[in-house]
Amino acid sequence: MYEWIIYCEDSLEGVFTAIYETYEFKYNHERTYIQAGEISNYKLAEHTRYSEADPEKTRKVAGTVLREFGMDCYKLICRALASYEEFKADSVYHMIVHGLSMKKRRNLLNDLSNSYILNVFKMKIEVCNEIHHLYGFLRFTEIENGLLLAKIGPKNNIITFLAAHFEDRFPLENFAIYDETRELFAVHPAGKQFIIVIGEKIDENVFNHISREEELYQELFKTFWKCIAIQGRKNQKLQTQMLPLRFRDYMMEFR
Amino acid sequence: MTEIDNKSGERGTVHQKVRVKNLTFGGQFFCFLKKELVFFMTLCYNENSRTFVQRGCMSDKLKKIKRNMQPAGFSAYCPVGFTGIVICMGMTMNYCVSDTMPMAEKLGILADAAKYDVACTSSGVEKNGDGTGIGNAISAGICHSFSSDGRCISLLKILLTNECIFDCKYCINRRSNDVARASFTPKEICDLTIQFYRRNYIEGLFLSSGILRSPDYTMELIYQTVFLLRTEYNFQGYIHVKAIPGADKKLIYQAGLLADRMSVNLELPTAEGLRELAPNKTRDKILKPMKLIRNGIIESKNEITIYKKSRQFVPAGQSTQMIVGATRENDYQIMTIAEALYNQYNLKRVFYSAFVRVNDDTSLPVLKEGPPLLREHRLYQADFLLRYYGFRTSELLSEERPNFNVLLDPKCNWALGHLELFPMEINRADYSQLLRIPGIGVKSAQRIVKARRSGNLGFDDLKKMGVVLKRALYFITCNGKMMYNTKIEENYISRNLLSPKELYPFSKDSVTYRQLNLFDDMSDGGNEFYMKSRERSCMNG
Repeated sequence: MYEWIIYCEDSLEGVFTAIYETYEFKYNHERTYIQAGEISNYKLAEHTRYSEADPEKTRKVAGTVLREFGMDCYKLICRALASYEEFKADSVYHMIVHGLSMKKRRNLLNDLSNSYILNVFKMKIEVCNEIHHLYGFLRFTEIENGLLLAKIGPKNNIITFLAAHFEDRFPLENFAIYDETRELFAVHPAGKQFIIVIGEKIDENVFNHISREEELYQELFKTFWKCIAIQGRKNQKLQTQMLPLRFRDYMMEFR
Repeated sequence: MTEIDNKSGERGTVHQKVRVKNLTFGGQFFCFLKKELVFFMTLCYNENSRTFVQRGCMSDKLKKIKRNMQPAGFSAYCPVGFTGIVICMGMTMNYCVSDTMPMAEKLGILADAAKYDVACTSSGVEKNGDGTGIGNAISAGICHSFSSDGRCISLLKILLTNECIFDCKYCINRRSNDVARASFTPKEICDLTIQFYRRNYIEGLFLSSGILRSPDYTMELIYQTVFLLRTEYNFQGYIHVKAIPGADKKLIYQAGLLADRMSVNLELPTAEGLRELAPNKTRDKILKPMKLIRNGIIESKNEITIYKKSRQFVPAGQSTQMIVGATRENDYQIMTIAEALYNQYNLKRVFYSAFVRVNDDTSLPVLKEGPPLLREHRLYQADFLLRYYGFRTSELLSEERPNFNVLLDPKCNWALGHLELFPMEINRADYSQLLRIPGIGVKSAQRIVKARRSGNLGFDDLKKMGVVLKRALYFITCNGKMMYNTKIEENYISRNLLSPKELYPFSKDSVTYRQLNLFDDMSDGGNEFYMKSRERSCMNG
């Protein structure tokens, strides 16, 4: 049984603050568990407490990670914390604890036989794979006023990574990406930086007011998509392997 | 000409593709497509302005279609994807629905004509947008969709035109074929690319072409398109263009300065094959632009070290493709040529395309089992061994054994032939040796090398790192021990690797020997193995 379960906001700030506090209050790391978001029913502990995200503490932990383990490790943690896994905060926490106990701290990422580090790696790979998938599978629809709108339903919380990519790609476009499962918006006004809007629901009606050319280009792409396949090599299984079904609800060529 | 009854019971006449200029009076038109009324309209001729005024009335179903319609030469609409069937009521008149081919039909024809080109990669170049235009590129490349044959759609892969003055026997667009022909204008291609790109359907443009009039003329059109796209539209995404063999080298060079990747298709591996099936192409003509591009790339790299801002020539390298199974070449010949291309021409990729019989021609082979997909798959596997695993063709194949084993992948096959090198000790073998073990790929080999610095590795650790133990276990030891008590014997290992589900030799819970059956390995097992290997991963990364 754990001595302490600390639960915090499901974000980088929340988790880093919680990690800071375990050191601040000198908890026994072996018997402490950090949970991002709500505590699940199956974890029991003697004490639980909520840790409020604090920018100062976050900055300190981020500084330590960067100084002791390097930029690669920091990026790895950022991506791993976007995962949907229950144990992500705890894995990152114990990875940092393990790293700080090492002599050669820069070698932390090579120690793949440690289960926490391996977990973090696995989460990062899964998150990066989904980001890479959605770089390609995301579909923008042009609304009447020229706004490009995309709806996604990813497993992991990756909207910021996507928005950064598309900001670089379409600097002069007004676009918005909507994460259906988390009710998050990334909004990019032309020529400016994108912003994340939390807790707004999308007005589904907006997809009925598409621009004049939108339907034409959708049809054109569907034509292209059908014509480019070679009938003699048909292989539905391979198609499903490369493009999992869960993405298809959001892709116009499969509708 | 056919006759179809129209609504009022009067008979109308169907005209196909007749000139519009003969139309001198107005009238009512019904248009049928597969016996369904598609549209109906009234045309009135205005004597003063000498124009036609359309007073259309369309059914609800028609309105839906109308959105996809494009204005034809005068104020009539034509459904996308079909030209010129019109019924005119009560009078006979010459009439053409559409003088210009609708975009969708054109795109259909030209995408269809381009689909046998394999390369659809968008990889090899990393560049951020400069904030003034549209587009960027990431070095891994991005797949945007997958078509029903499981191949990735990354670039808008189209031909500029499918008209061609050449008569290559294997090609659908050859001169002697009677297929629908179409051409894009450079502007149409640019608009299509930008609009698809904005909606994130594609990663860029792949532009190839049939030979229109002459190689120079065609190359110039390609250059115009790319120039327009890069300058006028300020497109900074990925562009892959074909260098047309026989075109002027200045044109090819200029196009290369704007494109990310260029390719020249080798088409057939040997000069004899080329002579037989592609009478208008010669080996020299194809290799000339390849050399040109290679030299351009080398020069440009040297230039960039001096003048940082000079434009890079074909930054993502060049590629080529060969058709497999159309002529009698064996795998050894194909791989030798591929190896030479990598070493001497500095190619980024060589693609292999299983021959699909699209033309009925006596000089082409008849393949009863469809395109030789498994052979293509084996070639790709060997190709990766050449590029990433440090293998040489002479190690994998020889004059005596010129073809790949159908049942085993080239790496396993090699390992079985060199059992004297195994088992290898995971904690001591160097990186290049690790790469030669079946079941260990580039990534897991890198992880092993890193992880063993901080401690000895066991089989559990290997599994966590992504080593495919069911293959590797016959060839490795961890701390001097093998995973199970397996024999280092060719027949034993190959039998186990080929077993129906490639199981572990022993069940997981208790150590029991699996009963070997005389009949279970080759017949069923082979078949299933064959099926499995057809599921290929995306080869375009």
